[in-house]
Amino acid sequence: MKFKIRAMTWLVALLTGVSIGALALPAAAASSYSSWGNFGSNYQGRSILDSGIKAAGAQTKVNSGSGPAGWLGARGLLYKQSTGALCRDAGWHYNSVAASSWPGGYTSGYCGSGAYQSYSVTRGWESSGSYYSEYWANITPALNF
Amino acid sequence: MALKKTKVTALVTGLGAIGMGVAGILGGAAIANAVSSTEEAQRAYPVETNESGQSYGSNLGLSAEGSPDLVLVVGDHGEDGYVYRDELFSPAPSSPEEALAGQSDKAGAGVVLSVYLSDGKTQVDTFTIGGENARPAD
Repeated sequence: MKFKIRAMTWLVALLTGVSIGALALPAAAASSYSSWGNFGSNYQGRSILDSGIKAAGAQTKVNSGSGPAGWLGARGLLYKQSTGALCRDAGWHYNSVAASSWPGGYTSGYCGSGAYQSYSVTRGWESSGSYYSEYWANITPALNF
Repeated sequence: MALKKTKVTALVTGLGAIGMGVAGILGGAAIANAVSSTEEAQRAYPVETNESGQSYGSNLGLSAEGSPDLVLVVGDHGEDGYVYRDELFSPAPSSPEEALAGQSDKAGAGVVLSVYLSDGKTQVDTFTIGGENARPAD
């Protein structure tokens, strides 16, 4: 009887290890993305949140072809979910070489432990009208940092 | 007595396993009550008006034009406060060349804004766009 209970104790301890390995470790590298949204004449944008590097970013892509340097813009904005306060702003970042898809404008740092969301902005150059189309991408699901 | 102690150990260890599992789920999965649309954000973070008639609050879920006059931020030194919308969201560059040049100019120190109380006058902190708050470009 005593042996059975000891065996059960070890089994439970083993399950504890499995819980940590299977659930806690993936949490350290989780990413969440908003759905893509169309904007301008030829672009799509989305928000990115990465709990591994604790950052918000944005991704802009061209529906067909590619954009020369400076055509695709991304500005990651990191928000605290509890209050809706803007915690970090990466500022605008543009593709330095021609690209069909460009993830960038990642923030650095955060505002204490808690849940965060990314609600970021993207831009695409409209060569026909010589201006930037701007798109506020959808909000990502929240992740704990 | 020894048997009881073993049972207690098993129970505590089991609860620990459940706790770790829950912590793992909370750490890695999406938070259930987070806002996912402009409508939800407006309900969760209502915008108010100060004595000067300026709107203030969170801009989560709102565009630059739709944001309140004073946007809720966490300052560089951890103080909650507000920055002026028009300082936070400046007009787009007029060409890709200008965009790339501006990006290089701001890469070092970033742009530092004043953070105020909801009155829009009393400064309590600063808020930096870019600079150390941005990761270096790839």
